[in-house]
Amino acid sequence: MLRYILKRILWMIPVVIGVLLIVFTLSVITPGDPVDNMVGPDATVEAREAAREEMGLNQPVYVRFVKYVWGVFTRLDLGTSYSNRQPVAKEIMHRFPVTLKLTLASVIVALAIALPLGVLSAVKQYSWVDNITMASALFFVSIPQFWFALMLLLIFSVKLQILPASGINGIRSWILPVAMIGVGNVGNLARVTRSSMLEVIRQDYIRTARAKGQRKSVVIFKHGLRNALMPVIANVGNTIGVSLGGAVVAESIFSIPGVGQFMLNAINSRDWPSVQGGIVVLAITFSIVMLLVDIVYTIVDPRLKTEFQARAKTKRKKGAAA
Amino acid sequence: MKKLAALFLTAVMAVGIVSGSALVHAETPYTPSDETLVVAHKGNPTGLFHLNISAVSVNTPISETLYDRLVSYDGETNSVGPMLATEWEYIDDTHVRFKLRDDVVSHAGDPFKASDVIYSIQTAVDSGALGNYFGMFNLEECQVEDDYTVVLATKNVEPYFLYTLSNVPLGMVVQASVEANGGIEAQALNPVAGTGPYKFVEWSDGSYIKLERNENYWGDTPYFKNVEIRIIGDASARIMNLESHDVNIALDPDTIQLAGLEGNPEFTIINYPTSNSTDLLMNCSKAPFNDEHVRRAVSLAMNYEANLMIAASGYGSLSDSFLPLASSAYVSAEDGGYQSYFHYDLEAAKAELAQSAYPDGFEFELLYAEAPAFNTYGEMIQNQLGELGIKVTLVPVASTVFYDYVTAGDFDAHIVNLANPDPAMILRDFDSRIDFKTMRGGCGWVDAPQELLDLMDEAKVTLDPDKSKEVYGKIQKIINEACPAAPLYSPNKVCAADSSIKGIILTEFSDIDFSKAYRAE
Repeated sequence: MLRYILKRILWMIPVVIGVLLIVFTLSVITPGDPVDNMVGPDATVEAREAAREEMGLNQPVYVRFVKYVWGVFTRLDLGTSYSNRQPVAKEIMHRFPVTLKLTLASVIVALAIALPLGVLSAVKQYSWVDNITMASALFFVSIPQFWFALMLLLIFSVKLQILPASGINGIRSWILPVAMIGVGNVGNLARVTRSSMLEVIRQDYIRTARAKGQRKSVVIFKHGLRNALMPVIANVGNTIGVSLGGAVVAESIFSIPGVGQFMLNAINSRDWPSVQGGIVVLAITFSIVMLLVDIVYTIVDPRLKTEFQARAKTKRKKGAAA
Repeated sequence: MKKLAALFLTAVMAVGIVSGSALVHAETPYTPSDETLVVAHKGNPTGLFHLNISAVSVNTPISETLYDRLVSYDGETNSVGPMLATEWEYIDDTHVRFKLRDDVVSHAGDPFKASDVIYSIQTAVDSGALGNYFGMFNLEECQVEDDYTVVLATKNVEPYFLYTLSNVPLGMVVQASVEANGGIEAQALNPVAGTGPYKFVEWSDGSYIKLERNENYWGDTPYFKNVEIRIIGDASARIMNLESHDVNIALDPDTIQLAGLEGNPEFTIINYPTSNSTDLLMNCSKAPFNDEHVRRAVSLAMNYEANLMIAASGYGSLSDSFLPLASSAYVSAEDGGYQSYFHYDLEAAKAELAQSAYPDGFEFELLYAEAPAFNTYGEMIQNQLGELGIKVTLVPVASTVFYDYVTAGDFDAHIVNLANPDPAMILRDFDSRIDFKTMRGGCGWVDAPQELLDLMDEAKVTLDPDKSKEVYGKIQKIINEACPAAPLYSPNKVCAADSSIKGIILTEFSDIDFSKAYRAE
């Protein structure tokens, strides 16, 4: 197991290099001179050249890339922002906890709504409950996040005036952004839960449990849901990835100082070191999340744990034989 | 020249003294309170030390409150008045002596003196970030005469010198405060060297900036004890924050969204005309726009009134000249004796096109930096020119790459904001001696008449207001009749606010001034 985790961590290195290569290439081939955004339209020619020199933009592209990758892996240096000349790593680390909090809260909210809905839908298949739940799921999956955020603002802040429209002062201010991202994810998770539950409740062991006279709730939640969770867990990893993306919209509209807003500003001002830094951090976060999901998988599904143990045993035997 | 300059000076000083008196004696309509003013702003500033950052619009509302300039600008009278300088006099065409207030201290408590004026200019020149504002100074000849008297020198005659000094990027700092606070770099995150009506408290990057009233301010004590500038990137969200009363003022709204606030007694829309102009610049260096008849036809085929109402909800004004009505150098077609082509007349447009080399129409690409108003303008122009058989392909690009195209001269026509109160700077777009790269745009009018170039040179060095206007009148006649550019509209500076908040001042130089804002009883 440990070996597997270590292997997965090492695999993150080529993933990060790949991400860096793609983003770096995009930044190079995108038309426009980043110096325009560094020094502004009123800068002198000397100031423009000095900025180019200072940021190393007069060096060949491959030199810049190698230096950048070296800085990332040896000093955790994500470069210097073109906009405010601050270290990107510092800027991102300052904002990352906010984005993480927003993402995790929204995933928890999504799960809290989606799991019961998915189970209810499966248990009451083809009933009006199932139809309404699935139609709502389809609706929430389909609506654009941006529009949904503005609707939430309009209803709860402008019309009802019960929730703040911006900032992160106190728990009330988290409700709308978390709801915006969370509700968007409910549809997908509820649909996965439903289909997985439908598969499980038709299994023999569920029938056996029922035949043994166990209570319905025990059959559904202990025997049914536990076994139906596997695809849901796999989906949670993707949901966290989607939520990280959703945070960009939420942070921009609700004035939340997270990585998403930082990256959006950076994209608008062609601050490539900040964009690259943001993407690298999000890519690493996503890789870690997927690793954690895999570990949780092995805990929830004893078959996988046994498989790892069997593989290790075989390797030990082979080693001893050699 | 010196006599004319003296006349100009007398006029400027008279205005200055009158405005100064008004400033000193005017009584504030409020008693300072402990309230907080919350302002929704579109973007995170790139820094808080205005002398080494670009003068972009995300920075100006904050710099405005932290730093005072030597002189202020009064949009109503289109004149400059006292601020840190109480009076000034021209020694000659390129040297101006300023007398400074002796009761000004920085936010850190250090007194503001004449040497700080030179230090501020030197710091900005060294940073190089504000070349368009500080490039005019002749630093070697700027001198401190005593603690409260300074002589500023320019390299050339600068008719708009005082106007330029009233710009937000020319805010002054106190050297002792900069140095005691860790130098210029430290100022970017914790500015204490300004003398403005509000002091810096806290900057939560990407979220908000908090300011507090400067109790030692030399001018009127501001009404609001605290100001919170909240960063809300989306224009719709800014308006909704206002409607939900989470903020008191929403800056830079999309004008189309203001329709929802019009007539609502809870809110007020503050609307200020500017000398900015959104123009359609035609690339005169190549076909088809090297043909004067084509340019006139295009100018006559656009429905300016309808476009203004639809694309900018009417928040702007129309001009019969490439210079907007609010420009101090504007001369109307009637007064200037020229024929204007900047009105909708389809028949006249067809007649002009018939005289051109393209009587059956042509195709061209219309380049612009993507923005809601520009998108709508592009579509409207596309439809209207279709009536002439002119096929327009819209090329909306990211604002960040727009200048790459225009700098390379790689365009047929483009929409651009010409935003400079100094008309001499606007004229650069029509100056055939300046190439696309140097100009970072322009209309490539390579066959501009020599007479125009001579007049441009004359305008740059003419201090006398009457003479200056006469020269600009001749310039407008030549340019407007040749139509290298069509003025689509002059956008107003607009913000929306809670109607109980009074005293908000919007000017084209200072952006927004909270210092005189107060809550009405």
